[in-house]
This record gives sequence, C-alpha cells and structure tokens, in this order.
Amino acid sequence: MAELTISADEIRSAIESYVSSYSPEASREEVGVVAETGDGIARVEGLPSAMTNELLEFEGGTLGIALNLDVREIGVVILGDGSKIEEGQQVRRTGEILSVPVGDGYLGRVVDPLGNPIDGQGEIAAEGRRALELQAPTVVQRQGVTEPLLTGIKAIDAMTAIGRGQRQLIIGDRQTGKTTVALDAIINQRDNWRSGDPKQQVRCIYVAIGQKGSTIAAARGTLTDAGAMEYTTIVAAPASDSAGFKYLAPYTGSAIGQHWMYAGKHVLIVFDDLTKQAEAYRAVSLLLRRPPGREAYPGDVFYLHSRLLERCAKLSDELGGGSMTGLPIIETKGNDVSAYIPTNVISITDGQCFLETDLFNAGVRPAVNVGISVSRVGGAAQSKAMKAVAGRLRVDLAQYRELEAFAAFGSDLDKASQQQLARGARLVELLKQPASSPLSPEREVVSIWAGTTGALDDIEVEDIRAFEAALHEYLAHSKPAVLATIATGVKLADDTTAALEAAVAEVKSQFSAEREAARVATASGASGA
Amino acid sequence: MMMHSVSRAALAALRERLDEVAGRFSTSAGLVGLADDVYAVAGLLATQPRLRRTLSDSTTAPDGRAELAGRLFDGQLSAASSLQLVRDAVGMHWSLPWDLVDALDAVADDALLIAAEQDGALDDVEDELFRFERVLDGEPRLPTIFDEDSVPAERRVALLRNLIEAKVSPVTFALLAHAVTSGHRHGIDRAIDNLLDLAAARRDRSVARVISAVELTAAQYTRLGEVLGQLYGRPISVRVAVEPEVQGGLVIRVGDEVIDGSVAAQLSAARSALAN
Repeated sequence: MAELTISADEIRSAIESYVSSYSPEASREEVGVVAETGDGIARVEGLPSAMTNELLEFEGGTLGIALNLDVREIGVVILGDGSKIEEGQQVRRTGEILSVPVGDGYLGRVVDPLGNPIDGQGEIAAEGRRALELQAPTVVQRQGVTEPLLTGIKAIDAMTAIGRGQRQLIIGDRQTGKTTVALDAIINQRDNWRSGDPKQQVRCIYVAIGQKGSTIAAARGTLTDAGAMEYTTIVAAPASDSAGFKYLAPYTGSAIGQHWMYAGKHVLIVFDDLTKQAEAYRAVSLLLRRPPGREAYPGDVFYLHSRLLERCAKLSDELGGGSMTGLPIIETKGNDVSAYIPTNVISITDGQCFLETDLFNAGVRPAVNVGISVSRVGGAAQSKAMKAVAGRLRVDLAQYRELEAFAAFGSDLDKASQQQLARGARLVELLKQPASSPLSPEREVVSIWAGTTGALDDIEVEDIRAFEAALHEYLAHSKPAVLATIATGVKLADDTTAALEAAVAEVKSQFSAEREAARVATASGASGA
Repeated sequence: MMMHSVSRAALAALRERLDEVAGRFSTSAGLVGLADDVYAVAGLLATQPRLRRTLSDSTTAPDGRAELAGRLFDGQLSAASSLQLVRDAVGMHWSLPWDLVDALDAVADDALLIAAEQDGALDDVEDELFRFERVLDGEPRLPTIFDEDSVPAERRVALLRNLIEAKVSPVTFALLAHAVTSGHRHGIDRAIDNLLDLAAARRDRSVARVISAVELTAAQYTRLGEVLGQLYGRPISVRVAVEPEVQGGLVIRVGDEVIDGSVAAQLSAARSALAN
C-alpha cells in the first residue's frame, strides 16, 4: 500500500512559495455573463469576487445590485429599465458598494434613488459619497431627545409632541391626511430656516416611494408655494419605477440626511410610505426565490425597516449634537393596526399618530385618534408653556369620547356631564386645522390655553375657529409683547395669564357684537326680501 | 449532487454507456484521454450559459442537440469514443442544465477510476485520496487556498503539483487537479469525499475512514473489516490513518456516522463531567 505522507515543513514551504509568487495583475477584469433575466431581476454567472450590495454594470450602462450570492450565480436586482438586458450579455463589476453622492447641493432638488437629479435643473455638486448600508449610531454615540420639532399642528404638538431625533409613525388608511401632516411639518420649519441659526434650522427630506407622479408633483408644488422647497430635498421613486428603486429610495434619503446629521445639523426625513417599500422588497425577494414568510413577506422585512429607522437619532455632543427626526408613514387597510407591517413599524418607532377614517369623514381634520396616538418622548420635547397648558387636554378629550357615546342615547345628564360634553365638543372643534397652515408655537399655546381653561365655554361650537382666528389677530396687532413672552417658551406667568384673560374678554365683546349684527342682518334680509 | 429523478435515470444510463465504451479500450491511457476530453467539455459548458442551456433543452429534439454537439466538438476531442459519449449525454433528458455538466464530470471521474481499476491500482488510488483528505484536515490553510475562486486555476494546480505530484499515481493527481480547477463545485473537501465514495462503490463497497494512534496489525485490520461489515451489512473498505492525537482507541467514520472510541474523547468527557 503506497503511503502518502507530506511533512508539515513541506506544506509550509509550498504555501510560502505559492503566496510569494503572487503578483497582482494590472488589468485583470472579471467579466460575468447574464444567464437569465426578466421581471426586474437578472441572474449573472461568473464574477466570483462580487461583494454583497455591489453595483454591477450591464451593457448599456444599466446598473444592478448583487443581492443573492449563490454558489453558481448571482441574483441581481436591476436598477432601472431592464428591457435592454439579454441573456449572454457581459456584466462588469464596478467595485463599488452601493453609495450615493451627498452634500448641500441637494437642497431644493428632486432626485432619483441613485442621487441623479430629475428636475431638469442641472448637475448637483456633491461633497462626497456615502454608502447606503452604514450602521446606525451606537448607544454611546447618542443622547436623549429634548429639543422639540414643531409640526405647527395643534393636535400633534399638544398631545403627541415630537422631539428632534425621534421617530414618530404616521399611520392610517388611505386618504386620511397622512401626507398632509408630514408636509405641514416640513412647511413649519420655514421660520427656523429663515432665522439662519444653525441650531434652529432643520433640513428636510421627503422620500416619495411608489406614489403617483402627479401626487409627487403636487407635493412639490405645495412646498414651493409655501416657500419650503429651498431647504427640502425630494427623493422620488414613483409608482412607475422598478422595484429596486422603490426598495432603495428610503436608504438614499437616509444617507443624504445622515451626512448632515454627522455634520452637526438637524434633519427631518419623511418616508411616504414604507408600506410600498415593503411591497417592493417582497416582490424582489420572491423573484430571487427567497423563502416567503407571513403574508409572503421575506423573513427580514423587520430588519428592512429597523435598520432604516434606527439611523434617525440625536447624536451626542462629542459628535456634533446633530439629529435626524424620522416621520415614517404606513398605510393600513380597514384601520387594522394589528397587521404585519404596521405592528412591525409600531414596535420600531417611538410613538405613532393614528389618523382615522371616521374622524376624517366627520370633519375632524387632522383626524388624530387621541386614544391610541402616543409619543414616547412626549413632554420631554415640549416647551414648558405648552406642557403646562396641554396637560389636561388628553384627559379632557378622553373623557369626552367616553361620554359622547353615552350621550347619544339622549338620556338626561347631570350638570357636570353636560359641562364636560360642552367642553369636549369645543376642544375637538378647536383642534381642527386646515392643511398647509401651520401655527407658530406661541399661537398654539394661546389656543390650547383658551380651550383648556374654559375661556371658550360660552362661545358657540361653530364659532370656535372664527373666534380663535380673531383672538390671534387681536394679540398679534394689539398685544405683541404678550406673544413674544409666550414665544420664549417659559411657563405662563400670572401676568401673562392675566393679559390673556383680558384679551379674551376684549375679543369676546367685539365678537358677540359682530355676530349679533350678522344675525340681525340675515334675519332682516330674510324677512325684508 | 442533488438531481431530480429524470436526471438520475439519465446519469445511470450514461454510466452504463461508459462501461460499454471502457470495455473496448485496451490500455488505461485511452481512458485517461477520454476523461480529459469529457472534463474539457464540462468545463466549457460551465462557462457558457447559453450553450449549456441549448444543449440540455429537453423541449428540442434529442437528435438535433446531439448533432449540434457533434458539429461543435468534432475534431476538438482526442478520441472518437469521447465524441460519441458526449453526443449520448447531450441526447438524454436532463431536468436542469447544470445536471448535464455535473453528469459529465461524474462520468469523467468514473472513467479515471475505471482506468485505475484496469491497472489494478484502484486500491492505491482510494488510499491516496484518503490520505490527502487527512492532510487537508490537518492543515486548514490548504482547503482555503484550493477553494479560492478568484485566483486563476493554474496557480492553484501548481501548488497541488508542488505538494503531491511526485508522490501519487497519475490517476489520483488527475482527479484532484480536476477537483481544484472545476469552478462550480462546493469545495475540495466535499469533492474528495465524493471521489472516495465513488472509488469504494466501484468495488461495491462502502468506505470506513479510521483514525488510530498506532499502526494496526494485519489481524486487527482484517477483524475490523469483518466487524464493520457485519454492523453495516455490506462489504466495507477500511482506510486507516495514524494520528497520535487520539492517544488510543479508534475513531471510525462510515458515511455520516462517527463511532468515537478514542481515549482522547473519553478523557475530555471525563474532564467535563468532573468540572460540573
């Protein structure tokens, strides 16, 4: 029997001579071949050194991401139009892990998920590139969220306040005003931007995933008209884009925002909406033959959203103190918040604003359901003034909702309950707000103060909003000092409260006089004619 | 090699064809040439997805595919019997395109083993494969280097040549060189595993890999073969490697089962029992 023995020395010397004979060949380019293509994915053979998430280039310049590295082939998601890709074509490695250019040049522009401008306003001067799959900040790199991010919407700033660095989910059925809430939050940063103070300024990013092109154009129009476009970037992956683009768009927005965050700036990023990103990811995974799980989503759909949203943070002072606030939007079906994707994202975010169809149809807009909307940062991100006046608001509204059902039976109620009903109805009316009209923080405090202290109890419910507008006008013209004091954010002092009470009395007398005159006019007009 | 039943049937038929063809060769050198040819065809199909798919497309007429293969490879292969074998392979029904490539590789491996058998050297080949497996087990850098797909195959084969060409029979070297160069298998460890099973199966046996602290005497060797044969109900080919680390007793592996009767294992079990 032949004995095959190789001593350890022989092995060592053989390996050494093997390693030393290695000379990096100058232009050795690996080339792969398309084995199969269709439906937005391609299978490529060859390219043994391809990396995960590496960009591969097909003939004609189309790019793809190498997602599946199998034994014999690579599963590639095509970014863009795959109609020119054929079996047998050559595929090159670019050597680049997926990354996008970033920088201040992006403000005011509309770009696609690869960072290319699509608004026809020329090239964007980038300050560098940032990989899309960088890890989120670690625990020691963060600090607590204490600065408020004001949306200008009374219902949200009073009851579910958002802080800089928080993730607040906006969740609801279709056509309930989710995008409006997000756009209002962006528009409300206009005064911060114009102040020029880098600690106040918030750069905004609006990521549109899978939306109609007309909707994205309308959103851009809204922002431009409100003067908000100069500090906003729109990353657009409309419904006509391939699934690869829709899957990537949120990460692109996040990379652009993180660049600013790590430079010590504040960023607000809106993902509209993540449901469509999950669906695009499901499509790609099923085509790549990854095993489907619940509702046919792949097993890592939680990780898809968690790694995205964990990048929103408030950084510690050593890293510059920048922050990125995330407002992801999720669309539910039939108000079912216990479905798969909604529960996933609810457990990732630091609170949610639940917008309900019934409330929306009943005219309560923004249609925030106070009961299940919550902000886990809450009072820590509110100014002291607002915290003091809004403390009772949730409780009052919750009690009102309970009583409301009871009162629908028309039974006789005691005086206290009737008073509660009256107060609640007025508070609900007070919290209604038209779209694209965010309020400054001092006006919000005034409104909430008036509502919760009972100053509005003797105004008719249908006149509440007119009265509120009149009160704001009066204070702005005749008592600007009071507004300025409130704007500083300190808890309302006694003299400020007294001044507000006087203002309310003044406005009430004018208001009732006007209302009386109007009623007489219509009565005489009706009877005279 | 996972194959659906259709491909498995085709592979079995192809092996029978090989046996017929092999019977007509008078020297083993011809079989080695046949194996080289078939390896080359398999290698070409591995890098050409379109050709691979065309030649294994079961919706087209088998005769047409065989014709195409004949025209492509005519004059490129060293023996007429190679061309005929390739034409037969292409004309069969395969479940998947890669099954054709895997089958050609398997048949080429078989041809080399038949060559060794005809020379009466199959036992040696099996032994050398087993010992090389032990070498790779003892030196983890080697399998990593051999499996490095991004390094050109010639460099890796050069290392293999440096290590063992002078010490093994040509058939063993050819089998191992192919295991290193073929770019579409799961790693050299698994390749050698398969080859050992193939070699033993040639003699209708299963392989028992034994590790012992000291050389076994002839009597011990025979008795071990008998005991294992009774245990498994079929003839067993016993391959023994001497490694002092086991300190005594035997470690026996047959297929997926391991019987660990070594003193080293008993000592470490005692150590952990005392620690708890």
